[in-house]
Amino acid sequence: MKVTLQVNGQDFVVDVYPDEVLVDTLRENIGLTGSKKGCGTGDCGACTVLMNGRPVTSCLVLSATAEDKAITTIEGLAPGDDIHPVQQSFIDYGGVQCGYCTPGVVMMTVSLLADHPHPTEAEIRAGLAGNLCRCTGYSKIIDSVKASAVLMAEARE
Amino acid sequence: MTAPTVEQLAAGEYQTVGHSVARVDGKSKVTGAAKYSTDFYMKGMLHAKILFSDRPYAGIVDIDVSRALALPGVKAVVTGADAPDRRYGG
Repeated sequence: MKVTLQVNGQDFVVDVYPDEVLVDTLRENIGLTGSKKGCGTGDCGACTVLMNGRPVTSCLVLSATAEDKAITTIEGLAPGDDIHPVQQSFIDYGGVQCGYCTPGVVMMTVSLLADHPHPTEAEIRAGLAGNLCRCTGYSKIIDSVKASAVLMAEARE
Repeated sequence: MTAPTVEQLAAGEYQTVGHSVARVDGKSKVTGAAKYSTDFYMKGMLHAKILFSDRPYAGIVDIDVSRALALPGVKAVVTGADAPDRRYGG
């Protein structure tokens, strides 16, 4: 079935199966492989993207239901060669190890900071509870989120 | 003689020791540009699927792959018969 997906501000007309999930359409049909498929069952958070600004595990979203919704993936977070403050903080504060969970963690952090511009550590931990890191570098991920909040607050001033 | 501190090392001739060094692959990983093995889609690429046993602790008596092989698009069915008959670590 043909659906039109609005991904990172661009329209894509894609042919999808009725039971096809968004992460597969993004990766295999549109070619955006930044969103990772870790578990395929909504447990790991690696496939997290924003849909109308809210975080979703794209392995649990049927592509057909994503029509007419604004989807943002890791590739669309900053225009061109620019880098989002959250991405910069994850580089600077060692929030990246193997990097497989990173796109999902970064997208979830963007959403978290939209809800809580100055999050407490408890809010960070709760916000990222659905994003698993098998390198288990959680401390540095939390440091990176805290630094992201500071960097984004500075950018707003 | 005591060992130099990290601060002393950083102040010396070293460019890496005593300094925070950004990962060389940091940017590609935070932007989703980094390619992992699952991110490669090649022309004519074959896909594999593993069939697990639905019986716990069962012995394999025989595996008939003929119907699976007859399915359209199936290139091969690989079983233990295709592997050398020896234990791990050969």
